[in-house]
Amino acid sequence: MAAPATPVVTDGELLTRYLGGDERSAAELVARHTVALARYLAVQGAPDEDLDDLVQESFIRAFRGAHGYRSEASFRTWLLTIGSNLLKDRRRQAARRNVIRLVPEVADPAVDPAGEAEAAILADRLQAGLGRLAPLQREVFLLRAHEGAGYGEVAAALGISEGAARVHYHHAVKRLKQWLSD
Amino acid sequence: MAERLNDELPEELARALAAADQRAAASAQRVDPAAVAAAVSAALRRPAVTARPASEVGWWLRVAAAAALVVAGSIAVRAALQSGAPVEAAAQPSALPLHSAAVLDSVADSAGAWVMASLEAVPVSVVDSAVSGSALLLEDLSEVELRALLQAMESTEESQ
Repeated sequence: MAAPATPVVTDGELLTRYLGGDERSAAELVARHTVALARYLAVQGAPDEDLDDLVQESFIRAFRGAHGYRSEASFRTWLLTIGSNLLKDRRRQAARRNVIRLVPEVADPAVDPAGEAEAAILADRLQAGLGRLAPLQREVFLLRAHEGAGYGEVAAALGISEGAARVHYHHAVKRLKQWLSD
Repeated sequence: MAERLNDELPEELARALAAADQRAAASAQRVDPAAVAAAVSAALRRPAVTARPASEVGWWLRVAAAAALVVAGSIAVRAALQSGAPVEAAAQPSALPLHSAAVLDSVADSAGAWVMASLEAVPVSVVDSAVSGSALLLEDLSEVELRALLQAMESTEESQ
């Protein structure tokens, strides 16, 4: 007779347990979502050397603000928006100190003759385009196109209507397509 | 039959996103979840640092920016009324058939999307550093950013 499957604890339940004082539940949530969060921040151009700190601080903000979590959006989607806002804050602070460039440099194809330059150039141009989008458009685009979130979930995570999410996504795609083809 | 919005990405954009994601995945692999968990647990055991006080931006500037938003929104609605456009529908994207790309394009002219358009008229470096992902928080704007936002609104108001 097969052993009964271990029930999977949902993210929401883990968060509830954390709020009840269970630190191990927080550690489990970190284990589940660290790579996805780091990947989401990196695709927005977060420097490698800053990723560890950004990921840690995002989780800290999430757990300290856990009472504000609404279950209409998944924990991951909510966490990713926290990470994006943190990245935005850090860039704003750095911009005031005139330290960090907001737009990544475009790869020089002459440096990489192997042909992988095309992918790097495309990635750089996309990140430059993402940097030029209005923050809300960028967030909607990434949650939808990169994370595959539905419009309802995007709307719930960002505190906007589903209709507004559709509008933002449409305009983001239109602008990115135009910038890539320029 | 109404034009359907193609939710699939254009080919070049899809390739660019895939390339960016591939690079991001390599970066993410260098982050150690166990180390993150330990650091987060340690931080959560410490008392939270009190939020820093509100920016030094004069209160009058925030009030002026908020008033400008209200006035400019009213002007946009009045302009739409005079043009005979269905303001109520135009101001509420959720009431429109948003499967149509043509409708989505027209929403950009509506009162409801006016603020977004005004923000996008401001240099991206200002907006990106100022606007949160979920709401426009005037308290987050520096004096320079607020002045830029007001200027953008005033220039749009003059063109009405």
